[in-house]
Amino acid sequence: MSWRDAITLAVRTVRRRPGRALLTVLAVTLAAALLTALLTISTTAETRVLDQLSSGGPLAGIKVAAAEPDPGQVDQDDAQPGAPKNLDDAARQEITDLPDVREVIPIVSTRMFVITPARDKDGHRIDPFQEDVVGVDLDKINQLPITLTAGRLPVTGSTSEVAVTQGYLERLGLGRLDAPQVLGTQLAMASGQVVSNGETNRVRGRWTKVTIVGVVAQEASNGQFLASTETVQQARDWAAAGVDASSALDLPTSPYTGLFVVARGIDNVSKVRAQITAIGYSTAAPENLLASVRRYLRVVEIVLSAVGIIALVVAALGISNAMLAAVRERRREIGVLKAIGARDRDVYRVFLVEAGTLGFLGGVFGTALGWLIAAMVGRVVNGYLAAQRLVGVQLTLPWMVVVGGIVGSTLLALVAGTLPAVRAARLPAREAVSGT
Amino acid sequence: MAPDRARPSTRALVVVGVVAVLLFGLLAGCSSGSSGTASEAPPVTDPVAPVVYVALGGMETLNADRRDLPDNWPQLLFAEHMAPGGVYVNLATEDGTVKSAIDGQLPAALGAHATVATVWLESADLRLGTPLRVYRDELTTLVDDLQAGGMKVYLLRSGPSVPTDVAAPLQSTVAVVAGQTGATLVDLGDISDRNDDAGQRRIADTVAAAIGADLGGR
Repeated sequence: MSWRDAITLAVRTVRRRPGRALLTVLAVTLAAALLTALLTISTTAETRVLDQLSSGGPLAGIKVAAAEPDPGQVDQDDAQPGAPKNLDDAARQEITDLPDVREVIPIVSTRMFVITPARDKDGHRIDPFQEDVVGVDLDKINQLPITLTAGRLPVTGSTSEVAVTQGYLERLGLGRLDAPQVLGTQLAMASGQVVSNGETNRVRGRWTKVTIVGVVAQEASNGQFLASTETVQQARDWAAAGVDASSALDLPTSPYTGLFVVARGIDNVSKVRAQITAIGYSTAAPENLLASVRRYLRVVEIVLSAVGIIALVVAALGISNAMLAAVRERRREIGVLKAIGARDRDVYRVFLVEAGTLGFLGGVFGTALGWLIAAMVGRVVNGYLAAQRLVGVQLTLPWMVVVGGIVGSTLLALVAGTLPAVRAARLPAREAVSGT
Repeated sequence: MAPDRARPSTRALVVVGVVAVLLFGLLAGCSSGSSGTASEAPPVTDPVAPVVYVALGGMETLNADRRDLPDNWPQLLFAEHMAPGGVYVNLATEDGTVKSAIDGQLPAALGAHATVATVWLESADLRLGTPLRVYRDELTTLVDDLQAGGMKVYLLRSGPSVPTDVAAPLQSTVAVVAGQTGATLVDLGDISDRNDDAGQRRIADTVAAAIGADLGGR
């Protein structure tokens, strides 16, 4: 019996028992799908995070403060800044020109007077208070250490919207789960300007009404409010236009409160930090944290792969079981084959080809299904990331996973089918024909 | 033998197919509801040119003699009648006369690129005895310059507290200037209760009735 005859016979057998064949293929399909989906998701997740690490982003950013570096702390992740020092356009340009810097995002903040309509637990009006408002370019939010936890981010350039932090919720006596309560609330915020009539100074407020549209966790700068750069800059300009503004209101003189510097790759973070320190500014970057993240990502990938492989092994056991049942059911058929001259190795070949066919089909369908599941998961993830104003993920299906899924399923099926094939081949012809 | 066995297998095929379709439907359903936190967020409103409201005046507008800032009439007007993104600046000074407003408050109003202005300047000029003609000319200049700066101007005046109020001639002059300049006159009536929260609320409501639509809010 040739290989061609064996394949024809195997296909015919599969077609004659479509239910069993379908269930066997389905088992392999589901296992291969699970493996493909897990590997695709873990590869994409790792690529995404490693992209952040290698090409820059919130994880690989360096925070530059408007302050002198403290020589004793330059190598610490969260170094304490030294004496205040103006961070102006010249310094920004100098840092931007560093060879391993990809992007420099300015951060401005200002202290504002806030009136909230919220009331405390006893129903009393909350006294007006002063708090820092952090202004950033909201188009570059995905590169900053800012995470949306409820609602949405203010529209880019908007002067009528702000997001608040957990600190604001705590000020109102609210917990994290109460965040939706503050969404839509309108606040009155004012920046002060010192004016003089020649004899006395007084503070004149520039009030603006803003709506809370979201709750964020942010580490860009200290402050319970996140707004557009325009909102903060207008407030700073108003304050700066007053007489002797910096001393009367204790306002910062630095044009920028800080800079968020994105290095060209995680490997350049230390070098860029040292260069910025040499320019004369204090920096902070989570270098130790990043090293830990990389290690844990590897562990996650190994665990996910192990889960997929376990699923494949279970599927292989299913194939083996189905083939053993087939041998038992088809004893008479095996006997007839042997009676008309088929050798042991011919019977062995028929059963092995049948197992291989089931494994191959399961591998093909499973890989396709796994990709489909990964794509759906990717769609959900991208929807979430889009709501967070973050860059979406691009799913990557490594060719190794495709080839490995199909070839691996086929090989595993062949291995699983070996024992039943050997049993079928060794079945004595007379015993097989008699069906005993 | 084979056809007999094929029948239950076909049924199994149908069952498996239905389960697969349901599974895919479930996954597709999960993927479509991905917006997460966005649903609870306030809607994005179309950006409009912000209203910048300035209040020019004296002690009646500054209310430096009152403690509760949020309950002062300009603050109430801002809080309750301005659209989000709107800007309000109280330019009033304790001893604000029309002359001092031209010198100090007018440049600030123009610098703030205000779109709406209220002017309430009575008490200091009355106390200092500014001649009515001078008062009229200076107030006309102030309103003209504000209007030239692109502002819609509302002239506020208090009504007589008593029939023989000494302020009556000055209050009449405000109406004359409003008529000449095209500014909108807002009669506040008796303001003897100005120091009370209720009085501030009444003034805010009266001004809001005239000016509210220009502030872009309710």
